[in-house]
Amino acid sequence: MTATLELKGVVKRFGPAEIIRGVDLRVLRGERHALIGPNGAGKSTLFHLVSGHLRLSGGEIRLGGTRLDGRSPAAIARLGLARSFQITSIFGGMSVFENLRLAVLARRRRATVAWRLASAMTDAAEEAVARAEAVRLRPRLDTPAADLAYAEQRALELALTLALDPGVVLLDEPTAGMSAEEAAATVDLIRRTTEGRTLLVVEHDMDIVFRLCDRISVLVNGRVVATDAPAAIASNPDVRTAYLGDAVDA
Amino acid sequence: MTASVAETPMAAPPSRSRAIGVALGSLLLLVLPALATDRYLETATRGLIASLFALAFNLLWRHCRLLSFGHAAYFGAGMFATIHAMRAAEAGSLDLPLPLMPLMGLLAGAVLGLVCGALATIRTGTYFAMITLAISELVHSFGPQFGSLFGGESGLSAMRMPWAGFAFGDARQVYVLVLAWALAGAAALWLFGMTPLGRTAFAVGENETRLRFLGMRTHAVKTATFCASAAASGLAGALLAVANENVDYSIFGGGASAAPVMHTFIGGAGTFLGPVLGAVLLTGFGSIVGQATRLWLLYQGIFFVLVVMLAPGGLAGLVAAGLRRSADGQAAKALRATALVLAGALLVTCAVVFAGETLSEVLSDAYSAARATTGMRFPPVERLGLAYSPLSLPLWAAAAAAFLGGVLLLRRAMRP
Ligand SMILES: Nc1ncnc2c1ncn2[C@@H]1O[C@H](COP(=O)(O)OP(=O)(O)OP(=O)(O)O)[C@@H](O)[C@H]1O
Ligand SMILES: [Mg+2]
Repeated sequence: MTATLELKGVVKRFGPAEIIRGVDLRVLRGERHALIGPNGAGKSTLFHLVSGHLRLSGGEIRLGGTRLDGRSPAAIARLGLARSFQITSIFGGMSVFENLRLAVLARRRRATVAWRLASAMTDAAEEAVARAEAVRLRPRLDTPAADLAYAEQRALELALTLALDPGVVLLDEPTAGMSAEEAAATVDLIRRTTEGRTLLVVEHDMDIVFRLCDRISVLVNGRVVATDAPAAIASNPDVRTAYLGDAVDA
Repeated sequence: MTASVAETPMAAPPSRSRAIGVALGSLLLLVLPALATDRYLETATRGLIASLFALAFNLLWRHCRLLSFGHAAYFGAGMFATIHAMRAAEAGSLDLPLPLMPLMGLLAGAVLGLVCGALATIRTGTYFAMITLAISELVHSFGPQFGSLFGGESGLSAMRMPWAGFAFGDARQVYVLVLAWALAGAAALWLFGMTPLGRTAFAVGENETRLRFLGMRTHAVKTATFCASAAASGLAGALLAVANENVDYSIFGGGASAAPVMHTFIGGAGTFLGPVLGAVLLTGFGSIVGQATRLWLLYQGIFFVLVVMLAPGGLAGLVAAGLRRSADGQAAKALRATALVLAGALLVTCAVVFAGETLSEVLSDAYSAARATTGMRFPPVERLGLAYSPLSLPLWAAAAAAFLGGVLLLRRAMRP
């Protein structure tokens, strides 16, 4: 299998603190890949590096054959890699509808059109409504994003990312803060919408990880200590001592 | 069905009262030439220009949350470009009818705005504001240098050339020309906000980081918005050049840059027409109060401070809140708040005017002379149609009480 996303010797230092300490990671084309690890392991930092939010201190990152490191977030998004944020990042003063239409227009390269009214772009509007429907935000279309409940904001965060129709999706704790039922619906949505795409997801809920993902990488202290199929990870003694503990037995 | 989904809700008044307000305002603008004397028409013309300028400034703030302290550069560029074009037309070397002259200002503002905007929008927040200020100060410093470009101290003059039977000799025709362009400019700015680019620019102000991760080159969006704002500012400058037939480089000074900022935040930055309210009010204020007292800039400044501190949404925000309340069936509450605002404003005004006028009298040369002739240390002050001792404790106590009471009433009224 070919790797879509490939990290080689990636290092990130904040001043003297080395947070990412030489990560090698291959995410295969079309697979659903989980990145797990204890709090502070550097999972979000790794996402920031891949998506261009932070600059690498060393190593390289490739998408297909293309070097990602050194590119801007906008350029990386345009190459077909989209990400969501662990700390919800949406357009608070804009309605749910406008949030999603913005993402749809951005993907269609129509978000800077200045000679037509946005309301005249009915196909983008219809897609925005459909995307709201998919995350069960249809009844909240006109609500300013800032006024949504927390779980709804998480759903919008996810929908914004998926609205880019990315070939590679990075999701940072997409179900955090949701009720069990909301989380289950979200996992369904992720499974459906990432069909035929490549997914890299950070998730603390082991049930979800084992149900959703084809392979798992374990990040501890800024290093990937294991990458394998879920069953193998579950029985890997190093992983158990380093991270999983009793979570697997449950 | 989907196309009717509402645009972003902002601090706007209910749509019906807004429509009524806009209709009444437009009617007033149209019948004004038939009613007003030349002096008031000239004031109205300046009000229109100030309104367009403030709207242009607020395009950048309301959408991208970029605060420009140097918009005089683009306003002035529009003025000078238009004066040069008018001079060329006068000399016969340019064949552009007067009604189209403002296009030169629009163009000049756009070009300068594109260059300076690309530079300034690399930064945001305070640094952006400082860069815009630095750019306008830079242009200002060129003023005395290039005589043929800026005309030195005395500036440049040009005549309005007749066109198609219109002489443009009186205030009426100038007013109509300015009105047409100001309305066109305002409409264009309004429409900008409803294009995809305008919505994306608004998203820049909301969450620029996230927008980058949607694949948007936000610097380009900000530059484009800056350019549009500068173009409209240039248009406003062009209209002033047409109205005044004269311009000098002092227009690049800080005062001209401060005007749209004050107008916007007094009127209300959160609504599209808020800046117009501020511009009309302050232009009228300057024209009327400016005749009565030399202290009008001081009063304007105090007014600005009070509005910014007590009503962050500006006057339009107050009006919108009141209208929304009455629409929600809380008319009594809205009425009470209005009464509180008016009473508070009256008290504060009395106190400030008393203090300002008394102090300015005591510090005047005439008062020193009166001191010498009467031999008294503090002879009575004659101001506001009264004669009173400037040390009168009861008067000062009353003024202080009025000021405090007024501010308390205003704060009371602002509470939700
Ligand atoms: N900008 C920064 N400057 C300094 N240290 C940072 C910075 N960003 C993150 N860190 C540190 O890097 C470490 C890894 O943080 P990161 O957010 O990547 O962890 P994580 O694996 O996503 O954790 P969690 O599961 O809690 O989300 C933490 O110790 C954090 O304090
Ligand atoms: Mg994290």
